[in-house]
Amino acid sequence: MIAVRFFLLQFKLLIKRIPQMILVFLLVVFLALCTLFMLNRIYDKLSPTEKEKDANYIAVVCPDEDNTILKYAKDILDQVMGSASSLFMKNENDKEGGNKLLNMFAGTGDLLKFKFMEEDEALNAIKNNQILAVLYLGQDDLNKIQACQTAELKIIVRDDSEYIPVICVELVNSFARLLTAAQASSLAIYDIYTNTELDGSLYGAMYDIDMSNFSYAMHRNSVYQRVTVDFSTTNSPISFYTATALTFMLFLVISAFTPALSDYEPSFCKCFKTRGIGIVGFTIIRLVSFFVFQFVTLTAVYSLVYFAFDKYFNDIFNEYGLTNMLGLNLSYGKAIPIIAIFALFSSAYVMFIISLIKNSEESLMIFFMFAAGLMLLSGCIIPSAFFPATFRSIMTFLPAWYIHKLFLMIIEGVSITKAGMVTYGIVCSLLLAVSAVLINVIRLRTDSNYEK
Amino acid sequence: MYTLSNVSFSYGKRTILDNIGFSMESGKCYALLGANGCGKSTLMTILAGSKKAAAGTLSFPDGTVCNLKTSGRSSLIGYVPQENPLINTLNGYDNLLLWYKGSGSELKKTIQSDLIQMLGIDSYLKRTVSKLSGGMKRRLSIAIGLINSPRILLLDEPSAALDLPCKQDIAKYLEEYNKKGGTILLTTHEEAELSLCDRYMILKNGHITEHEPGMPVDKLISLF
Repeated sequence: MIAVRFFLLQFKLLIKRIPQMILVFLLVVFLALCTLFMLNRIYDKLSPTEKEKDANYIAVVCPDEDNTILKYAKDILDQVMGSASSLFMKNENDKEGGNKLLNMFAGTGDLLKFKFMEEDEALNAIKNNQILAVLYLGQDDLNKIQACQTAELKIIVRDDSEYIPVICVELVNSFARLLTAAQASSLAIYDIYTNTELDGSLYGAMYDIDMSNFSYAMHRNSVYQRVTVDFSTTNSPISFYTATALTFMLFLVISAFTPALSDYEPSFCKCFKTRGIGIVGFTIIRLVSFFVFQFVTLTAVYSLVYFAFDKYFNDIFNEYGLTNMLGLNLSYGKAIPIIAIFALFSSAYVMFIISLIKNSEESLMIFFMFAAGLMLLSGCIIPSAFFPATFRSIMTFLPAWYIHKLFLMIIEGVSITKAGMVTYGIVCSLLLAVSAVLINVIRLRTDSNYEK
Repeated sequence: MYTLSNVSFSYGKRTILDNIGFSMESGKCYALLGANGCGKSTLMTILAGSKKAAAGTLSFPDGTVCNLKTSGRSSLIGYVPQENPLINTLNGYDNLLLWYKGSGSELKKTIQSDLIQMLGIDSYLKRTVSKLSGGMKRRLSIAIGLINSPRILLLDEPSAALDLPCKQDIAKYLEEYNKKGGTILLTTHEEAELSLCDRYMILKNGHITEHEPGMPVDKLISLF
């Protein structure tokens, strides 16, 4: 009975915070609209002209520092194409040969139009919107291909939502088909060091393409390695930092829910225990009440926005070109589970913060420190490409990474129900909720022990 | 007669309560005394059910026996800790409702009962706790301890940090509670509260010794 009463009284406490939350929410919406409006204007100025959009080819950059690698790659293409063309781009003859080769490939429909370029030229071309993408085959990548290991394909694309999925899928598909064709050909695979023919069965390869993650995987003799195209460097600064701003604003809205620890006197938990409800039960009841409250209020707000949007706001947003940028393409039913995940995340985040603060004056400082730190470590402020590879894997378990990615996908019109984002959200939220409960329990236990 | 038997508790290797026991009669007031850190609050929280003892039982006159190794006996024992167990952002009524076993309508009737009326909390039940004075919060905390009509009331320094008029009021209230058959066990450092007690229980080195009330303070202190 006391658990239910406490749950309902928590609700009452949270309802008392609604006026404060509304003010924060209105402020955040105002700031978000100003930001989007401003960025939309900047985005218009940076968008490619009609003439530039015709330049729809892709540059391939491949260093030729190692002649052995060059020979291997050339041999593969020779086997596939039946012609001896030089491919690599340190001199004009190589470029011409490579381009001829690729034009032949283009005719088969397997590749988009490719063009070999030097690295600097390719990067300048993409910055100036002269090309759609750069496929970068680094030294290590070619070594790995030679050794029949999985290579990481680095693709830099222009910030154009219409082309990104198409380009990357096509690139991955084509590259995989290229290797498949090379290895499945009836011609022998050569050991390039000894120049001897090897048993083709040793290199029985299978290629799985996971389009939702744009990953390319190579399977060799039951050893399975998966690599994912690194998209963290492929978003334009505008999209990236719009998502960063929205992520920060979201944390700001959530912080309005944060009740101070001074809501409870230290002996409150002690009395709770006299009812047979321990610190863990007390903490879980609080977390559940936050979750239910968040879910109910967010669903109500979303319903209001969803059903009122078309009627009142659509024209205004369209006039300023904001609808496209917002990319609100979720059906009402599909949004509810997303809201539930978000409610779980935000209630866990609130619990996490209140375990660190002693009073409401500290809450703002702790919020900013925690949100800023979390966003920095999650690659929301400095892109994750600048962090070590090991750390990048850990990043994906931080909630800010997930939220930032979600906003980025919404901005770029990518469906968020694919690419495992929902799973990520559930896992992140559950991990944060468990951490929040544990930290709260430890904090309350420490406080009660201190009173001894 | 309420009988406490074989209560033991330790913090790690340090024994706080070593197989202690004593009896309390209905309608009497007992003072649990001792030096700071001797284990008074620990014993109180064990009796209240907030902590679990390593061993021990509490027997009631009707034959009910509580195992002190378990928690949750708020229906039998009311506990008023030293710090007020109140939610500052709720009003007095909601704070009472949280701890009350029955429904909201039954609470309204209970608030009208003599004992609760004596505390004089009616006038500020609708006020938020953060806006109440220390004395008002204390009365509200005592009301919370009594709201479920427990047989024993445990009070941990009930009038600490309160002004003299408030101390007097609380003393009167405790006397009235005793008269109605309630048993009180309190810890205190106030001489005025000591004068209310029928017996002193002095806790020292994990053991309890019982003493008659009224002894001079110097002698009392020498027993700590």
